[in-house]
Amino acid sequence: MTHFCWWFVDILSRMLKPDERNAVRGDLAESGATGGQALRDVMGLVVRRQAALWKDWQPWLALAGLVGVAGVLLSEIALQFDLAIVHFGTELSVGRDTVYLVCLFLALFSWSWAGGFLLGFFSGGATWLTGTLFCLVIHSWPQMVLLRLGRRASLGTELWEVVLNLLFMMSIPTLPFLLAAIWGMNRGLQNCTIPFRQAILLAAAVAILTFLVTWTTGWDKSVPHVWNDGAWHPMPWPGRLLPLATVSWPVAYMLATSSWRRWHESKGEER
Amino acid sequence: MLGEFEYLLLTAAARLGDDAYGAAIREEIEEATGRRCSIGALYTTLDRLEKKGLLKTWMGEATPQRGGRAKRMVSVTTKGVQASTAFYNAVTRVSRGVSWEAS
Repeated sequence: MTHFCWWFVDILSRMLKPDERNAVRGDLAESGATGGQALRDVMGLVVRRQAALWKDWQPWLALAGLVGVAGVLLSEIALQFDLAIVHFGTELSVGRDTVYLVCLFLALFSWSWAGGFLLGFFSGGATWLTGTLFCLVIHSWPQMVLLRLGRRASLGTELWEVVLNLLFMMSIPTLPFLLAAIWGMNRGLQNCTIPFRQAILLAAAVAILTFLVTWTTGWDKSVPHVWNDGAWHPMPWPGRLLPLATVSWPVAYMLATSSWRRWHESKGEER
Repeated sequence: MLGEFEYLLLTAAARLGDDAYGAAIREEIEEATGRRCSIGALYTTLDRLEKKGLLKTWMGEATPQRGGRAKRMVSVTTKGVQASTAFYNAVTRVSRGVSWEAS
């Protein structure tokens, strides 16, 4: 038990800043604290430090704007990708299917990276929580929806077969987006700023991809229209564009802050 | 105006002088109050007082009995002395004529 407590103290104290961790672990060693006392003390300090982070607005923006809005929309779009890549059967021509999937993949990758970057930048020390939620939403939410659909669609098969199929097979297509989000979070956590030129390039790429995805999802959505002899009307392009534009807000924010910084720097040079 | 725990911490640090650091201050407070002082309360209050400019902290030397880990040394600033004096005077004034021992 004592060994476990000290192991847990070691894990928990990694959430503290290096100097503070050093001082606290030294104080515990000097006072001859038992594993249980050390665990209670370190846990108390970590909880207080984490609670203090939430006094700022940035982690709340990350939670609401990135996990809540961008994350949920990303998961919905990832679900479309998941369904399309698993079946590869939107009944379109192979060429159109491929273009649709490639555009969607690149767009999802860019959105996930940008979302992760801003999440790390805003959350700071609270990234372990907001980041885990973001990853769960973009990666596991589609699997949960598919699990429900799969159970409904395959009443004759064993449940474990459905679970294995959905959790392991279908989670692979969305794995790159999860990795992109984690990569972005790491960059954002380093507090690095995106140079103006890179921000312009990223924004241009995301704008082009958003346009392409809006266009190519029109092909996908037109299939039921054909199947139903025109009785089912596909969603018009503004309706398709809106969620894609919303999910792009981190890129717009990065471009805006980078432009503002550049404008400020040029103003400073003029003086 | 200081809080009760802030005053205790500043007073313990002032009493310890050059030997004021996390574990020593904690021990001092526990001895004086007879109550447990958590590391969480100690370190968050140290940060708060440092932000207010009432004390300053820096990383000291590492010792073998601390497992080779450094101490967080504490020193009360002039502003901290003034704030503690004001708190002490207020408590003394408000206590005048009240004999708690008798009740």
